Formats: sequence, C-alpha cells, structure tokens
Amino acid sequence: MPSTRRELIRSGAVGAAALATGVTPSRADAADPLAAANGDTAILGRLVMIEQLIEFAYAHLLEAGGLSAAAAGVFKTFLSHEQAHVRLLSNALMHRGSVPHPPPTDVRVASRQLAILGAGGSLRDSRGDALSVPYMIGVETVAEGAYYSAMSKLSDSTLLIDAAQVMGCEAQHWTALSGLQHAGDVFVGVPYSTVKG
Amino acid sequence: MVGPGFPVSRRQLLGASGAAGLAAALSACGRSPGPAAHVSTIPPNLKAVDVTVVNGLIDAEYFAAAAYIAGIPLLSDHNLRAAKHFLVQEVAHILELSNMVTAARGAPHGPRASYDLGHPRSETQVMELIHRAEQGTIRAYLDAIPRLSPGAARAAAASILANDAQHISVVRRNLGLDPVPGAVVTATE
Repeated sequence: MPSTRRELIRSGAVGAAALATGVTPSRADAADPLAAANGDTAILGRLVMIEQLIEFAYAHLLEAGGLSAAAAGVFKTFLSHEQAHVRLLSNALMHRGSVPHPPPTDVRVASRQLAILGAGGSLRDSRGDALSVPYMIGVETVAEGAYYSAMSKLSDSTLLIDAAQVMGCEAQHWTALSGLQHAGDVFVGVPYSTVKG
Repeated sequence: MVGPGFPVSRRQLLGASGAAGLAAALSACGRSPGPAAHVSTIPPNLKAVDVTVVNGLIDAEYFAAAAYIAGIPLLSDHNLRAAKHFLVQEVAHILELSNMVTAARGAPHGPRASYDLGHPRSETQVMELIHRAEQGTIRAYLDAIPRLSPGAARAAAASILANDAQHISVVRRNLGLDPVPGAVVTATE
C-alpha cells in the first residue's frame, strides 16, 4: 500500500476516474509548499495565497457547472470554509502589518500555480464530478501539506492553534470529497493514521 | 466500561502491557496498526516538559481506544467497519506518541485500569460516545500543540489531530450530522 497520501492518489486508488480521463491528480514529488517561507509573517502570507487559490478553485468549478447536486452542495459548503480560512489568515497577516497578495482572477494562472504546488491535473480543464472531485482531492492534499509544514515552522501560539484547526478542517474536506467519489468507503476516505499531505 | 463481544479480552487490550499489548492484541484478531505504527521519524528533541505534554496526549488516545473497544460489540455494518478501522489508527497514534516519549528517555503512560465510559446501550449511543471521545482527543491536541517545543513534534501532533478530525467527520456522517460542520475544528462541534 502506498505510504503517503500523495502516493495513494498517484496510485489511482483515489483518482481512478480522473486518471481514466487523462488527469493526473496530485504530484507525488511536489516540493514543500512553504519551502521558501521563514518566519510567521512570511508563512502566513504563503498560507493566505494557497487558501486564495483553493477558494478560487471551488468557485471556478461551481461556476463551470456539470456537478451533481450532491457534489455542488459539498463544493458550496467547502467554498464558504475556504473563504473563512482566507479571512482568518488575512486578518492575522494584517495584524502583523502585512498585506495579503491580491487573490487570483485568471483560471490559467490559478491552475498553473496549483500545479506548481503539486495539485495534478488542470483546474481549467476540470468540469463535472468525474474530474472536479479528484482534482479538489489533490488540491486539499496540497493544503494539508502546507499546514503540516507550517506546524513545524510557526512560533506564535495563537497562529499554531489556528493552523491546527484549519488543518483539521482541510483533512475533513479530503475525507468528504473521497466519500463523494467512493461512496463513503472509510478505508479510502481515511487511509492513514496521520495526515501530512 | 469495556464490554464483552470484541474478539480480544479487555485484559489483553488494556492490560499492563500498554501500547505494545494493544498492537499485539489487534494483530491477533487480524488487524494491524500498519506502517504508521512505526513511522516515528520524529527527532528525539523532546524536553521534560514535552514528555509531560505528549503523555497527556497518550492518555487521551487511550481513552478513545477504550471507547472503540467498548463500543465495537454493539456496532454493525458501516459503523462497525469504521470503528474497527479507526481503532487500528488510534493504536498507531499511541505507538507513535509512545515512541516519541521513549526516544526522549521518558516513560510513556500506559492505559488506566478502567475508563468511565457510561453505559451506552444502543448503536447510536455508542457512536455518540465515540464522537465525544474523539472530541476529547482534538481538545487535547489543541491544548498541547502550542506547548510542544520541537517543530517536528508539533507537526506530528497536528498530523494526528487531523486524522482524528477525519474520524469525527465519518462518525458525524454516520450519526446523520453534518460531517464538516465548520471552517475550523474546535472540538465543540
């Protein structure tokens, strides 16, 4: 059995439908999303940027259409969560005297940035459950990896708790999206005893 | 209290042999904590205060494991499958945390002689007990994480918290509740 979630996704256990249609969800060799960020302010800025991309991705896929009613309902709920994450982290960033990067507005740019972070496939080309759900599983994997990295780098106590709480939510997103794709199979939805992205 | 029905005795699971006994007992009934049980890639940079904090997490994990062990005989179908799967993961958490303490030359806590789990009688009551136990572990991690000094230990703790959050999500779904009720995991939902 693959030993990491990225390998699991790459193996096809999670993204079989996407692979069948030519999409490769989540790259196993993706670098640490926070590799270049050091210090609480820089890490926060990076996390805001990643959350903005995830928010954009959910919004874009909802707008692109083709989702089942069940998937659309889940995507709408998770979009609202990602918006809350952006607000939470942006407020913390501004409290430190820094300004968040402007959110993405172009799907090609967002798709490319998410690919660089390790989300396989293409946001621009995803539409409908068969492509969008595995794509967002890959995106949520990126989020988990970012927070896992942040937990070892952040120093402020409040930020650590905020990051842990958001990381838990992203892991729940991952499980719920997997449930959509695999009819609630708990072995696929909660494959490992630790969540590291 | 832990009840009959699970194919391993309470003495085996919660006896003095601690985490190793739990792992052996699970192995005897065809379950394994799997590779995550011996991942322990955590640098042993824990200080004495960190050992105390991690032992608090071990206590919370043992309580959750006890809830699963007590409840499993009363569960069926998808609840049973999930509970058995999650129990294996809880044992992996205990082993990983115990390895951290041992690497820091500390003494990992073992299970208590008994746990007051109430008297759940129905499948729903068992799932509610498991829900509360998992919330307890989340609370313990949120309390512990800022108090852990090595970054790697904080990351390890958060990676387990996130897995317990996934458990809660599935348990809530099986109880007919919103599986992801909020944008942050607070242990009150």
